[in-house]
Amino acid sequence: MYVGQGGLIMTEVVGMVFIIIGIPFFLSGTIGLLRLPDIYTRLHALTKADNVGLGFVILGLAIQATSWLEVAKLFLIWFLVLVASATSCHLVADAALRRNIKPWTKE
Amino acid sequence: MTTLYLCLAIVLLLSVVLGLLRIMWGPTAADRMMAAQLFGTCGVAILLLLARGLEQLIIEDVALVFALLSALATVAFVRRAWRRDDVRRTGGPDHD
Amino acid sequence: MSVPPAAVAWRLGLFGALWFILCGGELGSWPFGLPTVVLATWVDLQLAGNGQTRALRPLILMRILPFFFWKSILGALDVMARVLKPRLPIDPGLVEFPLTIPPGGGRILLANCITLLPGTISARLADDRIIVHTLDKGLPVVAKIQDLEGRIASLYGPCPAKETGRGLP
Repeated sequence: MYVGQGGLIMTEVVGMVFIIIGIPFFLSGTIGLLRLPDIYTRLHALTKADNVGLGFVILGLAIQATSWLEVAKLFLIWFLVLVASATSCHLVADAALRRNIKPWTKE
Repeated sequence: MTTLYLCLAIVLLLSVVLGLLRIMWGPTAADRMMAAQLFGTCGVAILLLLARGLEQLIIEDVALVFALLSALATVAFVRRAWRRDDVRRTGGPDHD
Repeated sequence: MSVPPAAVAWRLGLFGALWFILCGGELGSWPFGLPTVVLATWVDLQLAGNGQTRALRPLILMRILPFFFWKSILGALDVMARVLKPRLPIDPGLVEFPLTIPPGGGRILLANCITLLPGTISARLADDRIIVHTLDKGLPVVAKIQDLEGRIASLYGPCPAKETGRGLP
């Protein structure tokens, strides 16, 4: 919410803090995708870290939003991504098990 | 403030680009698909940041469609595109 | 077959709200929106066996939601801490868990929530058991799933399908 030309108010700052909190989650999702040893472990990083990252970004944007409709749309998007990625994660893990891909284990 | 949104969007974009290494490394089609899923979630966040940064709320609708399509992409991949013989190349733990 | 009015009402409300959000409250969209909402309600009732399935209890859902959010954040922090450590402290493996919650929406919800819990993702759901992949076999996986199963079972009311003797498809 802007007050006049470039004037910042509380919601703007608090929202931005939440958005910035979200970014490291996305980065660790990517690091996990690259560092972890097999499909199953990579799924952990992908679904958990990225969803929470998006949750914080959306929370921040919602705090800054100027209308309730925008807030509702933001949370709808978050809900869709949450359900989609939990379902995707299950589908990929299930398909990998069906193909007898053995989970990586610590020797 | 606008610059900050755009910078954060670029950071997320770089994170996605880094994730693309997984497409090169594989080893299975599913590992490559996961990089696409990463782009799904990060893509939604990037679009939402752009919507706010550029003050073009219409981009939020693009993010909404993105969210819906990324789920369909995985379903299509698992049911149709991931061939069963992909497994023969991945007996054990991968080696990249 | 009788359809409970409440089952129709909350579906109409939900799909109506969804249309309202999607169209940004545009009044001109309702000539298309109203038939769409009614059609969506009808289709959903067909798929849900005319409202004869067990309904979610919204109030209990509201009370449990913060628990899910909190666990989800803990799950993300757990993954973050593990992948950022140079030694990559993971000890992954598969865990099988026998389900007591009846088939249907509750099981799907349980599978999705397991995926959000710290250290676990659901990998397969079949024949009254769920196969879970864990990042660390040292975690009390079974105890945590049992706790989650209890919470999710409490979300659902009594099952009217049993009383009418009509099985679910």
